Amino acid sequence: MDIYQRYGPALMRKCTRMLGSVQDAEDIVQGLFVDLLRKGTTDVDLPYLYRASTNRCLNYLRDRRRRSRILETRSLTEDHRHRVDEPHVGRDLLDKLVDVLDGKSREILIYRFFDDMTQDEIADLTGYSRKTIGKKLGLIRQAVCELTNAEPSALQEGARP
Amino acid sequence: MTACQCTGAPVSWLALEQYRLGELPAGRQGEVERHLRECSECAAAADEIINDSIVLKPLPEIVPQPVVFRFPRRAKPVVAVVVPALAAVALAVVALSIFRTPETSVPAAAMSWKGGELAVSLVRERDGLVSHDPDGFLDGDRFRVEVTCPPGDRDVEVAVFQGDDVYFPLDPARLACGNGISVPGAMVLSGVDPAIVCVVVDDPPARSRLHRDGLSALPESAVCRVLTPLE
Repeated sequence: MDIYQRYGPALMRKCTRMLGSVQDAEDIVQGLFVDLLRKGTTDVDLPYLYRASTNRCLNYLRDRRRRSRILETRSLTEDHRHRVDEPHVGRDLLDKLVDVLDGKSREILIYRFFDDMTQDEIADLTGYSRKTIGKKLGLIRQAVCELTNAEPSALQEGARP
Repeated sequence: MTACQCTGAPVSWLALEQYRLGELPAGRQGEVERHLRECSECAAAADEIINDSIVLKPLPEIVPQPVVFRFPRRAKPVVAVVVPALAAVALAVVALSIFRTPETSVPAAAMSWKGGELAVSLVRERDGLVSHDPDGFLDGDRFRVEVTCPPGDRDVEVAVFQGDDVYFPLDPARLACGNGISVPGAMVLSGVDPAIVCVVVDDPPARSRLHRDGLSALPESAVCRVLTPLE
C-alpha cells in the first residue's frame, strides 16, 4: 500500500477537524503528498505527516481570502469532538487565535486542543521542551480567555498540567 | 466547557490512528486497547475512525522534479565584489538592528537585494493605493510579487518567514521568465512580526525542509525582502 492510501485518510480526518471543510482538507492532503512524491520522499511515518499537515492547515488559515470562504462553508459541518479537559476551542475561535499567537503556540494549540495530545506527546512530536510547551499553553489559555471574555480562573481549573 | 469522561488522559487522535494502523509500539498498543475498553469517549472516537469511509481522490500525475538549475557564478574584479558586498553587509546590519525581535532574527546570509541575476520586487496594494517596493505592511495589506529572472520557463516558489513560522501564500508557479514578471496570485500579510518574503527560482527546497530548518534551508540563489509591520 502506498503512503497516500495508508496515511491519507488519517490526514483527511485531521485536516477536516481543523478546517471544517472536506474540500479544503482534500486540497491540503493532496498537495502534501504531491510535494513529497515529487521529491521522491516515501520514507515517512504518520507523526511526520501529522506535523507537516498541521503546518499546512495553519498556513491555509492565515490566508484571509481563503479564511472568509472557509467561514462561509463552515456551517455545513459540525465542530470537532471535544475530549480533553481544556476549554473548548471551536474553529471560529481558532480563526481568531491564529492571528494573535506566534508560530510555535499555533502549532501547540492544534496538537493540544484539536488532536488531544498530552504535553509529552507534543514534546515527542515537535522536539520542543516540556518547559516551552507549558509556557506556550499558558499563553494560549490566556489568549482564549481574552477572546472569549472568560474568567482566567475558570479556564485554569479545567487545564490539565 | 465539556469535561472529558476519561479517567486519565484521553488517547490522542494521532495515537488512535496509529492504533488502527497497528503502528504503535507494542507496549502502547496494549495500553490503548485497555483504555478503549474503559473509556466510552475514546472508544467512540476510535469507532469514528474505524467506521469512517474516506474515498481518496486519485493523485494527479506526479511531474518529476526539473533538472536543478543554478545561476552561473561570474568572476568579478575585486573592487566590483568588495564594494557591493560591504554595502550589502551595512544594509544587513541596519536591517537586523531594526527588525530583530526577541523571537525573530534574520541570518545575513539569507538577505539579498537587486543586482544579481534574480531580482524581486514587491507591489503593495492598500485601499486601492499601489506602492512599489515598500518597507512595511499594515495588517491586511495585499502584495504581489514580481521577479526578474533569466529568460526561459522556470519554477518559482515564494516562502514567507514570520516569527518562527514559514508559510507559502502563493501556489508554486512555472513562469516564462523575463523582466518584472508577476507571480500569479496575491498574498495578504498580517501579524506583529517582520515578514521576510523569499523567492526561490528553479531550485526550491522541500517545504518540509523550510519548515524544519527555516531560512538556513534556502539556497544561495534565493532573494529575500524584509517587510516590517507598521503601527
